[in-house]
Amino acid sequence: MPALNKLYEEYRDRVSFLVVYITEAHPSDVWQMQSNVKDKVVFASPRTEDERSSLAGTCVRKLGIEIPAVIDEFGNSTEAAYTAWPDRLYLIDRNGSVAYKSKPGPFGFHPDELREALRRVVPGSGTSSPQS
Amino acid sequence: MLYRVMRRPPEEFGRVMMKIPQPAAFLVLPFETLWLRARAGTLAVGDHAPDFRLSTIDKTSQVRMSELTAQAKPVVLVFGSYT
Repeated sequence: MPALNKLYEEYRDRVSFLVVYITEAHPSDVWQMQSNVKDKVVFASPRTEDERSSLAGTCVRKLGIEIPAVIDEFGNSTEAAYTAWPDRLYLIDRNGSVAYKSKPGPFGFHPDELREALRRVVPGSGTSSPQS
Repeated sequence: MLYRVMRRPPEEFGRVMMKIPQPAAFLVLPFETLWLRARAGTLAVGDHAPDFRLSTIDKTSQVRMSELTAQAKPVVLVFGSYT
């Protein structure tokens, strides 16, 4: 997430950013991961829209997400349309067409690739990293 | 078999995976290769991004994808969850 927050800071005046909170990858009642237990990230699957938005809020706070976030509806229609689960990155160009689609997470979730795609799509992007 | 399950909706897939001893599933099977294929999806580069209208986390407003693209700026979409 820090890498994505950094891209957001860098590009937010030229690119819209949106986090879409989708159905949980490893809730405690479905295929829980030991690494999550170790990190005390243990949550049951939300059973209502309210529970889902509450967990989404916790997610955004705890992960320190600075990008504006929305919640997929309970039928997971947006997840399905974008084959987004468990996580995935997209860059949509100014005409509304897919310019970059990451491979499915967790293996394919690489903010560096998104950075490269932004350099291609956004005019005036520097070729070197900005001074911090 | 695993490949077919991977193509099912997330929660169904998760329910099958929780019954498979871990980390056996990852060591014995070419999990990653299967996964990348099973979850490739139908959207391709150049395709029109599907529209959606979703609530913000605080539920005070809604964001519509087509309104974002109508601003003639590129859009980054970050999909994910907490666990």
